[in-house]
Amino acid sequence: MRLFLGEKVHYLPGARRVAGLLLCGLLAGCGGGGGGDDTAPVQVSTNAITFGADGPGAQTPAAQTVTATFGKDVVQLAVVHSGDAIASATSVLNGRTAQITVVPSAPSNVGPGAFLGAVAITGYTCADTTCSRMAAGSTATISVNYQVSPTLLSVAPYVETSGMSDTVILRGLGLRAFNISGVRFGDTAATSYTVNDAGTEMSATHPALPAGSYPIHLDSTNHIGEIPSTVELQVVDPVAFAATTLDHLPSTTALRSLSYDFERQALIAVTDAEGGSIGRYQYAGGAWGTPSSVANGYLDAALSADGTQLFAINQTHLVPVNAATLEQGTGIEAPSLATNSFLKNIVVGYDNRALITTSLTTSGTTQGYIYDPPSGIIGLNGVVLNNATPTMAASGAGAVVTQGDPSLTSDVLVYVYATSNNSLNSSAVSLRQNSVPPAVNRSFTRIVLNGTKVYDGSFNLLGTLPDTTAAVVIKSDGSRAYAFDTAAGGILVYDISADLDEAAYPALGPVTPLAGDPGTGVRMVLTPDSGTLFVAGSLRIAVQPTPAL
Amino acid sequence: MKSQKLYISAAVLAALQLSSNLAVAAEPAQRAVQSTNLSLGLIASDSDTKDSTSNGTFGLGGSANMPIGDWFGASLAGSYSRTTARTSDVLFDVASRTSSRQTCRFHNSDASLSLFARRPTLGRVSASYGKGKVSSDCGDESVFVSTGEDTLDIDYYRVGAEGYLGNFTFGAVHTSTEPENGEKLESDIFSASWYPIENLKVTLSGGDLYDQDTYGIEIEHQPEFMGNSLGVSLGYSVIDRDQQIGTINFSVVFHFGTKVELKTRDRAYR
Repeated sequence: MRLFLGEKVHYLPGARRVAGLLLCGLLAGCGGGGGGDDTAPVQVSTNAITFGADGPGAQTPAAQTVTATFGKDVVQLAVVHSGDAIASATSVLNGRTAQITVVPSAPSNVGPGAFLGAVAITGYTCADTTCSRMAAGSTATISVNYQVSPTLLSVAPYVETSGMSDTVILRGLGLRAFNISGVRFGDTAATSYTVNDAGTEMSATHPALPAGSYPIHLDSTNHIGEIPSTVELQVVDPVAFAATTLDHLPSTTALRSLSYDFERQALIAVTDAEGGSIGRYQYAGGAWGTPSSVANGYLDAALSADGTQLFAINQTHLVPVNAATLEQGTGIEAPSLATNSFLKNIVVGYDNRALITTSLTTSGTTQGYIYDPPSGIIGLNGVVLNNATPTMAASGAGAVVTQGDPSLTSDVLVYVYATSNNSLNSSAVSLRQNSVPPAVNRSFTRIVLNGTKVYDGSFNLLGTLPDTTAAVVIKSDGSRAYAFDTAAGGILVYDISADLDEAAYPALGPVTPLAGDPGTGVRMVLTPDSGTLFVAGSLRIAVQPTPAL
Repeated sequence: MKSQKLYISAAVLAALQLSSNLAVAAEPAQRAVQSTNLSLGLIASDSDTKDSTSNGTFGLGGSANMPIGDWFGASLAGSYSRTTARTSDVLFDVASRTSSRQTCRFHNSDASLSLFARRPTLGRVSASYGKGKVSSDCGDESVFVSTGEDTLDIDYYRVGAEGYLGNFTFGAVHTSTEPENGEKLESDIFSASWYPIENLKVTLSGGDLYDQDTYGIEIEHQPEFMGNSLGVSLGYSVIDRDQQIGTINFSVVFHFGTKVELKTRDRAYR
């Protein structure tokens, strides 16, 4: 009989019967093994552990230890893991128990978010009689949940006007790592908010708030517990400054820059006194005090994003200066300055990084810098500009940068500095800058270049101001331009909310004379509440309540 | 009592002599190993543990068999294989930014020497000594329980006997395994094989593997069209415990030089 591949089968019925009986007997004798403590499954003291960190900059949470017990048949105990939550899982054996140490990933490695992990502990046994091969016994699994909270880094502007609703920019990390369901200023909810795609910035609008300090909270639907935050918004009452004049520091012949410390009600003027001084005028008790000053060849200064410091520049160095005391820190030299070039102007974005422009004594292009305060590094920004002059929007989100020199025979591009990525990009507008610095409103919807040309945020020309404008500032909401007009001898107000199709804007009302002649080289500052104009030049500083037009 | 034993012994010897004589009458005189022969093959297995990981093993194995006189023979065998555990069975997969799911691998090597006595018409008794080494590569740090290291040396001793009865072979093997620094592991496996045709063997086995019941079935075949040089086997075995382990074995073995039928190979060449 052929059954299989043509091969012959031999019948041996008697022998087969005997063999079958023997085999049955043998197999029947095999019983009795198995079970008992020898094959006890792997068991762990807990099947779930959690870790939490207050943010990506927080310390790595302490490792947690789980005890595993296993049967006598286990030859090898394998501990493997998966998931971003876990950096390592190691075991230390002691008889038939093992201490499994689970170390979470460093928060800085994983960033903010909710992370999962799993640790599997498998006891391997010998799979054959000579133990030349392993087979898995039981496995115990530990689930790991790890929450690294998002971080709020700053709010800009960090100080707001009481009774006024406005939009602030919150910087942070991992703002998209959790479902953000709300923003609160103290206990007051933001009326709206948006988060950028990278989860690094939020734009939040607060309602009108009374003066005070407001911790900023983020609400989340899937973050366990409160999202930690140490960022506070300061809200201050505006001051109704009376019209007056302030004297410059002795020996001043030129004003270099002017800024206002809204939190401390102090005016900061950089002049050529003693080769370059910072004069600080503190308003207290209804009067302006005698200015304090510090000299170090300063050319410009800008308040840091948190208001604690002035980043002051001289020809070659940036010097951090205490914004309240004017105590100078250690200067940082700008590297690789081009021959015959020097630092010219500085502005600070909401990320507290500073854009520094450079200049030559003649017309020519030189590269600017970015200053990064945390690292203390000043680095070249890769863009060469011609004696560029920046003006930062009050939100700190960006700056308009004009350049050029009247001696040039053709116009040069106007640039826009974006704080979000610290980049300079050319706009669609070209001109040769004059002595009037650019002006931009808080939300970057109105821009005035060369004191005469009014643009919208996309650099579409809307209208013009008189050629006699020596300095100009724009109201926070972009509805008004306040110009110091040399021909009119005072402040003229323009409604620049409308597009006049490149026609001249008519002045609203009569000219508002100043309390004193500011002189030449005029710079203007408008307080954040839009209530006061500071107009300064070579002769003095004029304090002027904003015309109610 | 003593005389009873003597009677039984005499009867057994007489029976063995009788069957031996019968075999001799039917076939030419045979040695324990007819001639030196060599086999080399690929081995693969897949093991699945209930509610735990499964793993796959792939490797090489070889053996050399040689006669020592007419009654005795020796066998030298060795193998290397690698076992990969499928940790995906117990670890979820993640779209990870900084890590990946860890794996678990074992490298297994083994060598043994066996000496045996055989009468091809009766059966075989053997004794073996072998050494093995297993190393693991699992996760960040995983070790063998007895050594605290990621390697484990193994010594083992084996005695076995098998009897040939027509188209059946009955066997019993006792193995004593000594893992490095570990407790001695004892196992006893009994088997019964049936040759329905000369090139096909079906084996049932059962026993006590380190105090755990184990049983299995294996089919081995030497396709005639391959010139009786290639053997293929497929088997399934179970270790019966709380977390039952089922293993499928597969091997392909090439026999150099000796082109004989499977039954003859089993009883006269290896």
